[in-house]
Order: sequence, then C-alpha cells, then structure tokens
Amino acid sequence: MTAGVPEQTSGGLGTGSVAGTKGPLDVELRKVSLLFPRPDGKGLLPVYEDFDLEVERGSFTVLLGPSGCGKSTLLNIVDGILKPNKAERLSVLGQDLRQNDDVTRQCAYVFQNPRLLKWKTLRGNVEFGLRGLKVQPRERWPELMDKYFGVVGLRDFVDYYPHQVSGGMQQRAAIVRAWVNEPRILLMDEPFSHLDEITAAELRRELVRLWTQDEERRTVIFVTHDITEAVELGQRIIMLTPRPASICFEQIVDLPYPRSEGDERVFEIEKTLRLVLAERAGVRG
Amino acid sequence: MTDNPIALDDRPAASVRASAFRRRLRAVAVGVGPVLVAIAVWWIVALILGRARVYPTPDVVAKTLVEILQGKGQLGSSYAHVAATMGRLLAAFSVAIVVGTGLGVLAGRVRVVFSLVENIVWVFMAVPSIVWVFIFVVAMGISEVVPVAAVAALLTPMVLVNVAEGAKSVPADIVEMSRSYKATTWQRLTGVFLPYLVPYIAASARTSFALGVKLVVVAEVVGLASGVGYELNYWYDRLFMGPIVAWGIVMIVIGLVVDYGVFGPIERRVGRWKGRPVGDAAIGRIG
Repeated sequence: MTAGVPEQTSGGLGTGSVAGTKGPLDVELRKVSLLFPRPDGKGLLPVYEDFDLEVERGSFTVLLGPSGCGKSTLLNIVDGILKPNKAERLSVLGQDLRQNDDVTRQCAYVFQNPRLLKWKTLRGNVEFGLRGLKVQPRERWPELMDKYFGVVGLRDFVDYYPHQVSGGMQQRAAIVRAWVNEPRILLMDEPFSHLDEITAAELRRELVRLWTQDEERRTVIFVTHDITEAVELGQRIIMLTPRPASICFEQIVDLPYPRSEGDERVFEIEKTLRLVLAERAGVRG
Repeated sequence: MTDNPIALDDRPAASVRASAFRRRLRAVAVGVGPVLVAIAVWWIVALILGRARVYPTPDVVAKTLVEILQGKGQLGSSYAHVAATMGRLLAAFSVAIVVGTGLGVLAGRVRVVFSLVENIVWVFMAVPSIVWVFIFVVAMGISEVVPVAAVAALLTPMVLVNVAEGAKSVPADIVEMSRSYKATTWQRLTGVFLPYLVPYIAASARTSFALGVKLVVVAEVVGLASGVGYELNYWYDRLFMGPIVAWGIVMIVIGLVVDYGVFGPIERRVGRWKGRPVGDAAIGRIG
C-alpha cells in the first residue's frame, strides 16, 4: 500500500507509517474496497481497492489529492453514511462499524458548503446537530452553544437566518454545528474552499485555535486539494492518487502552531508536496 | 428614446402627476368597465327575452342577494346553508391536506411508493366528481360523509402529486447533512422535509380550496338536504334562476375573500426565511 514512497523527502521528518510514538487508533481501515456504478450504467467504478488507513487519536490528519479522487467518500465511510463493499477491518473509535455504527454519533462533519437549513436560525441549525447526535445532557446545550458561537464570534447572530449573514458566517455556523457536539472525531471536507482567501485564512486560524485549546485534542480528518492549507493545518499529510485511490505519499509536519506561510520550513514542505503532486498524484496509481 | 433624456426629466411635476392620475383612472376603467358593460348587456337581453323567472334581470338578482345577506329564505337561514357547505369543504380539505402531504412525502422519497401510487393518483384525478358522489351515495347512503368523502377523494391526489414533486426536489446535500448528523426519521420529517415543503403545501392548499368549493356544491346537489348545493337544486327544480345566479355570486365572493384574506397572507408568510425571491419551482407554482 505504501508503494510509491519517494526516495528523497526534503524537509520531511518521516514518511511511510507514522513516526515515533503510536497512540491509540481512532480510525482503522484495512483492505477497504468501494465500488460506484459508472455514470453510463455499465459496470462498476472502483473508488477504493484494498485501501488502508490508520488515524491516531488526537491527531490532525490532512487528506490531500486532486478533485474527484474520493477524499470525501472516505469521510463518508468513517462517518458511517457510506458502506464499503468490502473491508477486512472497518473500525472507528475501536468499534466495528459493520456491527454497530452508533459510535459515529461521536463524529461531526463540516461540509464544503455550509448546508444549513435555511428555515432555521443559526441557533436552530446548531441545535439540529445536537439533537441528531444526541449530545447529553440536554441541559448543557445552551452553555455549549454559547461557548462555541462565542469562539467563532457569532454570539450576536444566533437568531439570524442563514440568508441574513455572509457566506463566511454561514460556514462559521456550520463549524459550530460540528464542534458544539464536542465530538471525538471531526470530519472536515474542504470547508474553506468556497470562501474568499481572507475569510478562509481567518477561519483556518480559528480552527487551529479551537483544536489546540482542548487539553485532550480531538481527532481531525481534514480533506483539501490546497497544499498551502494542508501544510498550515496538518500534522500528517496523506497524499492520494485518483481512482482507485491509494496513498502515494505521506508527510509528517512537526512544526508548532500557528504556522506562518513565511516560515522557511513550511515553504520547504510545500515545495516537496508540490513536486510529488506533479509527479504522482496526477497519474492513476 | 435615449437621444433626449433631459427632456424627460424636465417635464413639469404637475403634468407628471396628472398623467399618473390618468393612468390610474385608465386602470380602474379597464377593471370595472367590462363588468359594467356585461351587466348592461345582461339587463338588455333579459328584458328582451322577458320572463324574469327564467331570465332574471340584475335587479331581481340583487334583490335576492339582499335577502340572502339578511339570512332570509324559503329553505331556512342562508347562513346555515353556507356554514354547512363550508364545514364540509373544510373537512374534506383537511383530510386532503393531511393525507395528501403524508403520502406525498412518502411517494417523493421512496421510489417504490411513487410507482405504486402514480397510476392510481391519475385515475382518481380523472374520475369526474359526480361519479364519486354516486359511488359514495350507493356505498354509504345519503349522509354527511358523502360530499366530504367525494371531495376528499378528488383533492387528496392533487395535494399528493404536488407534495411528492416537492419532496423529490429536496436538495441532496441537505439530506446527506441530516444523515451525517444522524437525525431520526421524525427529526428529518419535521426539521427538513415539512419546512421545505411548506410552500408546496400552501400552493396546493390554495388550488384545492378553489376546486373544492365547486366540488362540494355539486356533491350537495345530489346527496344532501342542506348547503348551498341544496339551495341550487331547490330553485333549479322550480325553474327560478334568480336565486341560482345570486348564490353563484355568493360563492364567487366567498372564494375571493378566502383566497385573498387567508391564502394570500399565508403564502406571503411562509418562506419568510427565503429573504429574497428564489427561482424555485414552488414559487413559480404560487405565482
């Protein structure tokens, strides 16, 4: 599976399997295969074939790859809303999803678009998530909402409808809808790709702040096609090839947060990733 | 036109105001004129034909209308008859909205249900109301249930089709979001589907009501001893056309009042969260 690890990895601190201490695994996929029907109806298209992935507890993992290589699909599998056709191991938080996917209530999703319900206020939207994921006890909901709306600066806007606030604020509300559940695993699918660069940069900083403020950090799986974003956020960057997706490169980024784009080490890693991306990720694995 | 924009702006305000007044006058004339002309023609033709009993003149109809408004009549209080008709309509209408919405959501979301009801629905809509009335009269005898059942049988499929169409168009990304957040069926129904469908339901409620008014009267003509339909039947049997025209006018007015007074405001209220008009199928339907 680790076929295609490059010989020289300038700036990287490690490749292949996660270097150093290995904590408990929150996500463990082994030999996962997923087929989609082809658009023309003839046969099946393999999105994943014998795919392996391990995600450590409390880590910030970035899945990097070209559009349409099935990165979001992977999040959907972890979230239990998409069942793979075959899997040797399919475990989230130590629980086999095929036996019991209740554990996916510990996962919260931030989508590419806010996907807010436009007939509910921002507060109503966030409550929709709390209710769905059955966050207990209910008495804590107001306190939780107040806390996370506050962190992203939306406290004065909780009674607004989505159309009354900007796109950036809508995406902030979508982030609150996920974080407010205080989930063990956060699944983020290119959450900033539809925003203007200034807003996106701001939200990235807020995300890092949110993530680092907890003593026991949450596990984040973050999908992006943006190399700069990947290096700014990720501890571990996994590069995927197009269908059937496979891991073609891994990069550990052991730099302190918040990271600055001006940092030379950040720049070096970006350069490496750009090279690898040009060389491999464009080609079918 | 664009050659001389200054000349347009330079027109004296008084003349602008005068032309605005003239425009409004013309609008009123266009609205009221044809009605006045029609009444005049009606009056002349009725006078020529004579026999005011069969060809009533407008003043005869007006006199009957006043009697209806006073609640007088050979068949008892006219208000009681209107109330009876509206009560039946309301009952049939409620059944249609509740059942039609329930089945519509199901049909819109579950393909099997849709193919199952698809053909049945068209059959139900194609059958003339009078056929339903006869069937129900035979099945249940002459009773209160007949007009309600007959009208409900016709309105329900209409609501169902509209709501199913709406339920099909719920954006897939919203549905996926609710799945990702593990929303229960109940939460999805009340939090996602029904709010999304409110404009569809409101639109089909409006058309159902307009159609239902006509249907319930037909059902009453055949099967009941009260209601506006009973009045119509009574006067038709005696070949008195004045009251029939008068009752027709009453039904028009009731329909207009309910449409403008109830459904208009409801449709403006729902979809307040939309903020700006969206190029939505639901909106097109309302317009």
